[in-house]
Amino acid sequence: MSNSDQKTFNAMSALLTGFNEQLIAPQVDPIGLPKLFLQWATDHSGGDCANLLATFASLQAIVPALSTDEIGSVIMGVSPDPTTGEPIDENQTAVAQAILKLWYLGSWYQPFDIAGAAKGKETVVSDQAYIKGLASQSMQSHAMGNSTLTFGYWDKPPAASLQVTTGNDEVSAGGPPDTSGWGASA
Amino acid sequence: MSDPDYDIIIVGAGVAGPIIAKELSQAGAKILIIEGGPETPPTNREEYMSNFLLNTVKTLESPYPPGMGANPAKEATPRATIAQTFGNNVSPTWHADLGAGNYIYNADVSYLLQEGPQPFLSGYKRITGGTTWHWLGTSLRFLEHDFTMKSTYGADDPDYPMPDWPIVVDDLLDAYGRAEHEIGVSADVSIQTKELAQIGLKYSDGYSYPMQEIPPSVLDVQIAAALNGFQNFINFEGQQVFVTSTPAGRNSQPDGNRRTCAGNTNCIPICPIQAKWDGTVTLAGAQSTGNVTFKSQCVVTKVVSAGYGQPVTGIEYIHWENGPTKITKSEPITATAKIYVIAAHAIETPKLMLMSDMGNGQTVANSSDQMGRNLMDHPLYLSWSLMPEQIFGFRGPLATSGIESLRDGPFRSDRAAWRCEIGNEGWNFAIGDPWTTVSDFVDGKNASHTNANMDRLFGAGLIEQLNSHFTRQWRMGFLVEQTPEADSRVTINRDNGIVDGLHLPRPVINYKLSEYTRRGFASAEVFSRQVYQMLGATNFTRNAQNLTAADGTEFPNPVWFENPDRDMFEALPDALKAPELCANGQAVPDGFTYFGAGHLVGTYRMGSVARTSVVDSHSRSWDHSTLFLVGDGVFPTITTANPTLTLAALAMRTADAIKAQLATTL
Ligand SMILES: Cc1cc2nc3c(=O)[nH]c(=O)nc-3n(C[C@H](O)[C@H](O)[C@H](O)COP(=O)(O)OP(=O)(O)OC[C@H]3O[C@@H](n4cnc5c(N)ncnc54)[C@H](O)[C@@H]3O)c2cc1C
Ligand code: SF4
Repeated sequence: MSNSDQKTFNAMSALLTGFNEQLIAPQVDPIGLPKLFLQWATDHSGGDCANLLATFASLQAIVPALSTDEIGSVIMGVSPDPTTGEPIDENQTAVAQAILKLWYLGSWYQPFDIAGAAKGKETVVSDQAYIKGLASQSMQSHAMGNSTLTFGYWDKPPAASLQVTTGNDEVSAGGPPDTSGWGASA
Repeated sequence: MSDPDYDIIIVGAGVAGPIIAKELSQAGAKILIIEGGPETPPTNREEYMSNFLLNTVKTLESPYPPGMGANPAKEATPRATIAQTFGNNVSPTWHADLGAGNYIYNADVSYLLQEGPQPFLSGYKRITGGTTWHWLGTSLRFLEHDFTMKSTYGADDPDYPMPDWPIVVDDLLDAYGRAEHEIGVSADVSIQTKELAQIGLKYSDGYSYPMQEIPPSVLDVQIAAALNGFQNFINFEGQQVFVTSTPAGRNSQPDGNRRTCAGNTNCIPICPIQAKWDGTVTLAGAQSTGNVTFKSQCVVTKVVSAGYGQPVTGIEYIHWENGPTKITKSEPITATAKIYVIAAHAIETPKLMLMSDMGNGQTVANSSDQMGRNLMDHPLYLSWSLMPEQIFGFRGPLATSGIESLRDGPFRSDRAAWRCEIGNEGWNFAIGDPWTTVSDFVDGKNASHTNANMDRLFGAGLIEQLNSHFTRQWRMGFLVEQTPEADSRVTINRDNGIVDGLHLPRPVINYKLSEYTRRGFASAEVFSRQVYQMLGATNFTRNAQNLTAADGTEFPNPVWFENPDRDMFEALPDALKAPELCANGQAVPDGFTYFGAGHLVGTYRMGSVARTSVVDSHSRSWDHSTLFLVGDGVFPTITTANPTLTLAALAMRTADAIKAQLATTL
């Protein structure tokens, strides 16, 4: 994997996950999840991971610059690609979703059939991928089975704010869930 | 007759076996422990943790051998698992096909051969240390009336389903204390008795637990603040509700070389640091006496006796090894002792006993024909909701408090009691979170029922939505008291051709929940609505009546049953019929689904007469004076408390009886 692919992958991962790039892809990184994840996504998506990175890079290059929200919406298939007016290729969006879940859960959900892996097949790509999964940071906790805290911490709310655990000053914690469209019978 | 090989042979190294071994080896008895599963030295914990981390399905069995999905016909010690009871192992026509050699779950996957009419949903372990590898550690005592159900609540009712025990709570107070000290239970007597003495929780005078209590979670404190002292719960007239901290076999301080609990939120399926007690701790204590011989990978296949009224004269076992391609096994080996103790838990013990043919058409210890009958569990009603404020779940031990104060009351004359466990693990148990909710908000799906707009999120929006959900999720688990039923039972069938990897028969299970038990579910649903109303919480519980096959057709969900008491729901005030308080959003529920609690109970019940029970109040077989059958299989009723502390206390009592018997008769 080239350095520039890795850079693009890291930037895209930060944008999609909402986590600070320095937190998920630190300069000094003994665990090496970004490298593992890019390799894994490349090996399990035919050429579509490379295509997705190219799409992401081209969206970043648009002048005047798109906001991160606009870029993310295109990648996730929520808004059309401004250069074509069409959604990006659905396989690329599927790979982006698989990469996002990989960051949050440590599991790769095979986005479409490829030789040797059917759509939907789930794999925990490494023990560290599960342990460092961002889902536990988003809940201001730890992966189940991997507490780094000590006896009794659970009788107080988390010491670190959501801004600290995500490295993202823009997230606002504690707001009520978006309840529009809820209904217990939904 | 030649001298026996040992004073005592104990079959099974879970809870009951090691406790009896420790008590009696310290008194100098020469003991052989025979364990069917592999040894589990402390170094295995790392390997099990690694299995857990890398398994996609993190069910309670996921860390342990044999591997997930192994065919039980090819394993020496296959066991019942939760994954075996998943809907994808049910044939869409199961309902119509049952009984003709067909089982609810595919026999290539499910070790238990389930004949229904309802499925038994709990699993257990067959490795050294037994099922305690994935127990939660909850260590509650039974209540005074738990032992006297018939005389207290059904004296005038010939059809009352609950029998009395042959002992009363006072007979066990001392043994409870010994068991709590062996397990290392963390709790505070004054806190327990403050709210629970009124429902018959008792201790010996001056008693104290060996370790201080485990602190309650943020969630516990919030629920206690809203509920404590309230006494207008429908169906519980005049009874006050309290949230109390749960006594647990979990270290609140270091114990020997075991660490203090660090809140890994993983007691089920595996504590990464062994802060939670398990059977291997006590086994090591027994072995340190030098009086214990331990054999692993030796499955006992027969208990030998010449007939009822005759002693047991030996046991036979097979030693097995996993070879590169197949299992190798020894010829049957015989071992002899003065006393035999079977501690193989409530499914394997009756299976073994029913395999122990005496050559005269009868099987060992079964003159009452009660062996294997009255199989019980705590069928569990799970109710999950979102709080209006953040309560920060997914932190701390899986449960630190519960509602125990409604475990007893006059209502027990016509419907089941329950205890309510408050879960600190969000909706992990309920819907498999964080996986389900994360996937919903990334993929624009709504499996969690919280993404009705099918939003597809990323970036800060995703973080905020997930944080909002995960820090508000919680659940109650109602452990409902099940009635003993003669035809809920474990049997064996040597003619169905379905065996394990040692060619031994597999347990055949018949199981059902009675009307009395089902009514307990209805009262749990009403109670949860009142709790959600008081807290301002929104109910997201789903009781799925149907499952969906791969081709999209729907078929009956085997774990669903019809609401036994529609009238009670019709009569509720309108405020308690609001959809956001109700499971499935239904004011009058069509029905309920249940989970297993891992509590296998009742299959060789104790009693005061031989005609209607298998063992006496010391767990001694009525039919063979040198045979003891121990563990929670002896419970005449399951009560509402988790079973292990009580089975451990009964094991202390059995140890005393064996000590006395060895001293007087031999
Ligand atoms: C998920 C889960 C959570 C639980 N949480 C709690 C809790 O919080 N509190 C509580 O009180 N209880 C809990 N329990 C129940 C608890 O685990 C059991 O009550 C307890 O382990 C029973 O002890 P035992 O010694 O009777 O049987 P086990 O612990 O099952 O041990 C039996 C042993 O016998 C061996 N054996 C079986 N057959 C043979 C044979 N033929 N030959 C040789 N050896 C044999 C087995 O390999 C096993 O090692 C839980 C159970 C589960 C599944
Ligand atoms: S909370 Fe964690 S450390 Fe404590 S007993 Fe459970 S798994 Fe072990």
